[in-house]
Amino acid sequence: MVPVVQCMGLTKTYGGKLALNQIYLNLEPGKIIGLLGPNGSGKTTLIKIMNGLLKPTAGEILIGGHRPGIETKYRISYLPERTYLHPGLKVIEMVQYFQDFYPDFRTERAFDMLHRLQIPPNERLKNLSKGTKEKVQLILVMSRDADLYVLDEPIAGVDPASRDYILNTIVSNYNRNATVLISTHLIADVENILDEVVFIKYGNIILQAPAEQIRQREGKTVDRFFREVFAC
Amino acid sequence: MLGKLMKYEWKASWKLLLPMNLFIVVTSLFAYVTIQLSFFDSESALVIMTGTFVMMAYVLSLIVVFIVTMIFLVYRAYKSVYGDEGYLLHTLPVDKHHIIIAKVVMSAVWMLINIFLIYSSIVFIVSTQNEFMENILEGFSYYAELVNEYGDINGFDIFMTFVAAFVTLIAKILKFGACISLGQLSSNHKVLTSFGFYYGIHFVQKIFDMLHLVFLEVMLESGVNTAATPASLSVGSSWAFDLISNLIYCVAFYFATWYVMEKKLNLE
Repeated sequence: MVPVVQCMGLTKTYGGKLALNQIYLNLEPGKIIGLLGPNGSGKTTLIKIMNGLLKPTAGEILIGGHRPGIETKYRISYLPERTYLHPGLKVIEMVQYFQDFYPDFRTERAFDMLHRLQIPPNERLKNLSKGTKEKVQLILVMSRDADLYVLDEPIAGVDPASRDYILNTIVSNYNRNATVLISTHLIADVENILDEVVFIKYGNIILQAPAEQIRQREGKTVDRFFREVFAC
Repeated sequence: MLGKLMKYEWKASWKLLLPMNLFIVVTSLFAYVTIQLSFFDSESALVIMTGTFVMMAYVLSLIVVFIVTMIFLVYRAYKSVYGDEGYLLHTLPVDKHHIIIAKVVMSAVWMLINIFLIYSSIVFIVSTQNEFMENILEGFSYYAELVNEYGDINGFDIFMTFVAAFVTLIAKILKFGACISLGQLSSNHKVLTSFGFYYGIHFVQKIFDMLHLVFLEVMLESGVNTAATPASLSVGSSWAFDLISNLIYCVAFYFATWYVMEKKLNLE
């Protein structure tokens, strides 16, 4: 089976500062994977390289056997850690935008989620709170039938009450043959939905293992184990 | 995908640029009414002051709308390609060529609307001043006579002058795109580097312009080209130089932009 993501000696430096250090990583399809690490560990850099927003300094990354490009953009549904929607457009116009560019976008699913979260489709994005904009982005991203969902800090900006709904949205809306990669440092919130975890520290992958295996082997939650591994 | 990109480019810009450009029409009408009602011949200081204010507002609107249109287009290009919105644009399954073409076409459309409205407005206002208009027409006929004395300037030259002007406009739009893109190669001072590239490229272009003038001067003085009259040499050489040089600039700026977007994209 071809891995969804293959990193081979992937390295990225910013002006001499090492952000990713010769990473070798394979992600298999059909799993929800947590990319876990503290701030500045290289999570977002890795995700941006997957999406073709950054070019690696050395090494190679393949998404479904392809280098990042038009082909892989059809297959990845990406939620960045920032607001990328045009503030002057209405929510409904952004739904049409995704519908226009992504053949795998499911409009009904998007409207259903907007309705459940009580987000008015005719509201302009600039009139929405930061948290609501993030919810709109997540809805747009999860309304695609992609092969790989890459979610960078999907719950960081929303209130705890909405987190369960968002995580439930992720679990119940993704294509079962697809992979979901969730980058976060709020591990306790996502732990229950993770099949596998990848720990990243100072640009190095220090652990890749099934979540259940960690709990059994270490006798503690992934969150507790993470705190020990990354203790300052 | 190109059509869709252009559609959303229009959606993102018309709400500001259309009313702003229509503002030129409104201020032109006010200026026209002021002139037609002979505000400046009035004995009332208040009426004269109002007329002066309207005319000042009219002239300012032309300048401000032109500058704001330019700034908006450059700012929008920067923000939508290399700012936060770039995270969406660059993850769309579209060719980078389409992204560049969509932005250039929509920028050209807005610049042409803007330039057309400004020229039309000036002609409209000036036409109300019969004496002034007569002077201008006299000036044109004098120029035409002068040109005819030297030789032949035909419709083809005039048409090609417009073509060269259009290509120059596209080159200027692409120049902004290339400078913004090349600025992204800097890890710390992207905007400052963009300005640096802009002034550096501008300087090189000015040197080419000067070399062209020197070449023209030498040709005219030495009478090397006996088949061409001074006027046809001047006008013909002028559009030919503008057309060829700007076509070269277009290609260079286009590929500089594409190269950075395709090979060196770094949205940090």
